[in-house]
Amino acid sequence: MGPQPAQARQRVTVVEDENAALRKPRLLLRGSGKRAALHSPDAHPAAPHSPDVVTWQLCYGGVPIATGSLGSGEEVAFTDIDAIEPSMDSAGFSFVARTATGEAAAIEAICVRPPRPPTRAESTARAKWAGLRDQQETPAAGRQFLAGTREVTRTVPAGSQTQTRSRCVCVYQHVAVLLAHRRRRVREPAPPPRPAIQTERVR
Amino acid sequence: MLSWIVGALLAAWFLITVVRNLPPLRAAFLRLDAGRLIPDWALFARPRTADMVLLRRDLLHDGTLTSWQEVEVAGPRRWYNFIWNPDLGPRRGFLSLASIIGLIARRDQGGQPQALGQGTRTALPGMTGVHYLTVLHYLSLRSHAAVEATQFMIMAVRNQSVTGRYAADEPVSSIEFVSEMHLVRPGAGG
Repeated sequence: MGPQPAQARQRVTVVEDENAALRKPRLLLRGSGKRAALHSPDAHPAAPHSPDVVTWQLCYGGVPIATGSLGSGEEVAFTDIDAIEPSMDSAGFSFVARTATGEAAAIEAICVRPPRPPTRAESTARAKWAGLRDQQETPAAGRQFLAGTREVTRTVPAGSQTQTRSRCVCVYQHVAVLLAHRRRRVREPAPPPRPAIQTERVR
Repeated sequence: MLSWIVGALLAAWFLITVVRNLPPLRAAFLRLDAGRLIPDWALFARPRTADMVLLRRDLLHDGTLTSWQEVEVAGPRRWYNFIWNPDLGPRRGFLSLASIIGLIARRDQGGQPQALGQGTRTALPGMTGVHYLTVLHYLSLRSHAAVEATQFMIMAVRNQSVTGRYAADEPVSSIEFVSEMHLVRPGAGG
């Protein structure tokens, strides 16, 4: 499954269930205004494609992790999503809903998941190293290992609201490439020793 | 007479050795004792006084950067670990890697302040080191399909084994090392 185009994709509101009533993450969908029937894509691989049906897709980092469809009828529907792992960051979830004709459907998605309180190491790291420097130029020492530069969006709290900032960062090569470079360097014959500099003792 | 002089010298050396091993004076003696004449009188290796914690943050395929998250090396601890603990090896392995990475980073830092950015000053030169590559490989293998690139941090947290991972008070912790951002799959992205 590759990343999907960002068109008509909306961020998912993620709510942490403080009372721990839910053991599995749950997706709540509302606002279709039509009769709704939710089902798991695994249980019903051939989704119906009547004009009233809205197909939805939950993505993490742009990669689909769950799909389903809303029929006509109910305005609110929910389903358990096993594919949401505890380590997944809430900022990475997005949602796409489309009608059978391909138009974007106005459906609000809310994800309710069990809480995961930050450890003291996580709290410290987020406070002390929240920064992301805008790197328009690659440092000279890292040019040979550069894989490319990427536009990064970061959601940061700004007062009472959150703000999305964009930065450009250098992304370096995969470990296999670095390891191959290291092997080549280790196997290279050592450079010949420099000829000794002849000096004459001045008497 | 000579035996008295030698005895006095050895006694003085012994006394200086005792004083040098007092924790508050250790650093001062280390600076003055360029020739390393005064021994570090530790019969055993000094015990580790801080937990080394591995954290990661990911760049996802849609350009989202996640928050720092702690990585549990070799899974969570179980109640029976005091008798049977097969995960001890990987945990010790990571502790060793983290200590060496931190040590190299401090040595190469040269006392200069850390630049707040994608990685600490020593991340770029150390990128092809065995320890760096081992940690990066471990994290790359444990990456979700949505992750395009990852960055790791090694943090020393004091008193964690006593007060727990979720203590509310501000821990005494220090960031030892922060890597650069790396692809987690060969030939992807860029």
